[in-house]
Amino acid sequence: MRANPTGLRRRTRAGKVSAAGYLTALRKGVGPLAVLLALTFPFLVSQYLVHLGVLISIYTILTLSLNLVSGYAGQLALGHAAFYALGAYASALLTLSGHPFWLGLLAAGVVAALGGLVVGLPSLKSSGFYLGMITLGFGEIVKLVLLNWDSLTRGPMGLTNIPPAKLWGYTFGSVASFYYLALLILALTAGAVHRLVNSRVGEALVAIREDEVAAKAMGIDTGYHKVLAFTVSGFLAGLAGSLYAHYISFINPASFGSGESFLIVSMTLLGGASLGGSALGAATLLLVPEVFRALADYRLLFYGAVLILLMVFRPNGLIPERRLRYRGILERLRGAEPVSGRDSGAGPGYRAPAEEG
Amino acid sequence: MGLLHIDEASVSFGGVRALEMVSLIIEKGEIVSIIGPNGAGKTTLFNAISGFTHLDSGKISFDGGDITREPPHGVVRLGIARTFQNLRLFSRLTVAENVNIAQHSRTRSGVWAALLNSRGSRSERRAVLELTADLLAAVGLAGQADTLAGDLPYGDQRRVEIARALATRPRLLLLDEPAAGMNYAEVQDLLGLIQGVRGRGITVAMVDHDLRAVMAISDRVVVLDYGRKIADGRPGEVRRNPAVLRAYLGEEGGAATDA
Amino acid sequence: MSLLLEQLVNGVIIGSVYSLIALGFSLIFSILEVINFAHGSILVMGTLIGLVVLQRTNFWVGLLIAALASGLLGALVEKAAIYPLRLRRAPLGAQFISTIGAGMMIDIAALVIFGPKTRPFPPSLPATQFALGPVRGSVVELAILGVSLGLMALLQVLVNRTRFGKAIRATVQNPRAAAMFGVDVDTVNTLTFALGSALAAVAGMLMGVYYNMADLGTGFLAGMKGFVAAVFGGIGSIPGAVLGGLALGVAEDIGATWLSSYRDAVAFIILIVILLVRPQGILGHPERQKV
Repeated sequence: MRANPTGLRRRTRAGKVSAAGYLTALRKGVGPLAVLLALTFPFLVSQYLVHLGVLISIYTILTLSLNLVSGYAGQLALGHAAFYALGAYASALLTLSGHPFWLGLLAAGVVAALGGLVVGLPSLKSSGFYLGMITLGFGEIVKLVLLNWDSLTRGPMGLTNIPPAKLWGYTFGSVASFYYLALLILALTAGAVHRLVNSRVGEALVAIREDEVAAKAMGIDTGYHKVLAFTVSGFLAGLAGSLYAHYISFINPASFGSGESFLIVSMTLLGGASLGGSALGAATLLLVPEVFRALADYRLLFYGAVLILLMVFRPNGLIPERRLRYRGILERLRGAEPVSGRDSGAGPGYRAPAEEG
Repeated sequence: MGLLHIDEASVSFGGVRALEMVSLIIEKGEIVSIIGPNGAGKTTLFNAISGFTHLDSGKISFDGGDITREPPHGVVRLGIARTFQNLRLFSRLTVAENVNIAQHSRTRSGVWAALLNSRGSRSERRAVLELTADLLAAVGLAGQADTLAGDLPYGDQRRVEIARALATRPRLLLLDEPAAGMNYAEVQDLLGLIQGVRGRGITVAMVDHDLRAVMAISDRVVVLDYGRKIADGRPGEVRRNPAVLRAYLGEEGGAATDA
Repeated sequence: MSLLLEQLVNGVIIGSVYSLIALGFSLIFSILEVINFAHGSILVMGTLIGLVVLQRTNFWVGLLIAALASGLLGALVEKAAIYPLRLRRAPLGAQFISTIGAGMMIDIAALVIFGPKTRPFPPSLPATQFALGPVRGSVVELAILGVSLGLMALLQVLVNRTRFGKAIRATVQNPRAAAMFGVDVDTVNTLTFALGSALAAVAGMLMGVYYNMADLGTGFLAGMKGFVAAVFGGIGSIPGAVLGGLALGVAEDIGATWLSSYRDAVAFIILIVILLVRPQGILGHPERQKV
């Protein structure tokens, strides 16, 4: 089907896919179809598959949140499970002491965002795999604290009987109802990430990823934006943690080790820096071991092989970030009305501000 | 009152003096070139002005305000833009994206504005795109808006870099070897572009090796050698300055007229 | 024996093992500029293989086989997870991620072959105790110290006095120039990876006799601590790796008296502080000769 996959990929990045019209059509069709499928899912399939749907939703939130830091801002972060854990514990502890779920969910985000802020600070002075190891170290420290702070976290025993999610008097007790809750939070997360990465802030993150020195020369406060990315990312991962805690109703430190961080990293890399990619990455790595039950014990073998093959053959992931096309808009803007105060001569359109004083 | 004042600026790297007590004033509206043999400290001077290198001693002020300790993004906000000797375009992003990003310090929509998709952030977006459209037209790259910057020919990449620097809306533009790697025709185009920039009221300081180009366009030429300023004057004066001749003939055996 | 002295001695002994792990990291880093995340996994795999051999023969044969097996595995990782990426000029970050993938695969292979159980290390060295002035020690501890220090000395000779060492140093300085002068850089890369991995397996075996056990979980932690030691001393520097390992060992032993249950956190805290305050480490020079 594809005579020249490399050529095609390059064209995709340049944003010229329209030449291959069928691909565009396919892409346009996939989105609405996926949404329709997601909404009707619990009516179509068995409860077990709906359960997997819940997990995929939770992991897609995690993958989206890591993408903010790694995919867009280009910072290597290997301790993402720590934010997931902080969110899960914050929400579980609050609800276990009688507070409502919505407060737990919010607190999960805030606590994990604070964690993100702390982990983000080293990114001011460090980058590359050094930053990767720092974030990994932070993740291990969080896990050690959860293991050893018995009086609060009950150590390796973990927290049990976490109450189910409850909003406006409705208890999300069944798998299907929880599925819709997870889907709602996922939709909110996806919307937030989408708006963020397509904004001035997202542009700054991408600039930092591409060339930090040039980003500074463009007037971007790179330190602020890196810490910001970690903080927002932490917040979103915290939400995922809260969902997990109230869905499974049991958490312990073992669920949030470095293996979990690597799983999230693998999902992010597999999918690429895009909404579809995040969902695809999460779904693939969760489903393949399910489909090939015999392989369940060999999951890490599979993840490991996926990582190596990806880095060799498709380092930008299955659905890489797409470049927006501006040419049409720019031409229309110039064609519409000559903006006041500018002639159409050869000189640059910007004039230095008039002297003041 | 000059636009940029540099007072006895010194920088050293591990014992090597890159700049030594350099004082310099750049007046509003002029085109100043800074020349000198390799390793004379020209790029270090630009790095110091733009906040990428900190001075060991001395002071830099811009439009009356002290910017000696200002970080790079702060310098840009105050109105000083720069280009890089070895082109630092975002080569995997499109030309339009490069120019959009450069307007960062002139816009202010933050996280909340983005999440709420506020009316302010949308009108700001429109203004950004308008300036990008104008600048790309001005440098003759309107048709290449969606090309990846890294896929452009070299001369065009230089143009993108200048458009990008202008997009920060500077009052002072620092060009670090803008003509490097260009052929004669491209250099002539570039000189026209620089004149156009000045015509818009933007002060230009540039470093270049193409002495013929430098002499043709500059109001004033400053010569650095081993981190010291050895000459400062009109192109004609500097050309005849014995210290300058010595520095160039000694270093490059007279082959200094063309890079 | 006073508590502080005892902590110092214990710290130096376990620290010398960290030094060996750190040496592997540093060697590989100085050649390939990549952190080999699979280092800990290679260490475990080598140790478990060595343990099986040890049970049938003796400690020293086990040690040798562990080193050989890990060396081979290291070469395989380089060829499978690093070389294809270098060929495509993949960024260093991608190479790092690729070694994470290799580590996962080795972990699982070890799990499948050896099972999840913690395996006891049979007493394979005489348990004799002795006293040297105020310091009490055992033959095991002496052997650990002897093997570690001996290997470090041997490595110093290898790098500075042999043809292979010369090739390594040339590659560190400038791979392209080295290639022009006839150094087979690909082979140097692979052999250095093998060498670093063999050192890790020796460290794993020494930890085995020290703690009388080996299991899968130790690999990750041992790898992290070796990395911390390497960074502590200045990654890419041989004396730095030795010093970093010893310093980490002592710091951990002293730190453990206050934060008993957070012993393992000491390494991570050191890591974060060092990387932030002095990323080039104690002995590192960012731009100078690295091996």
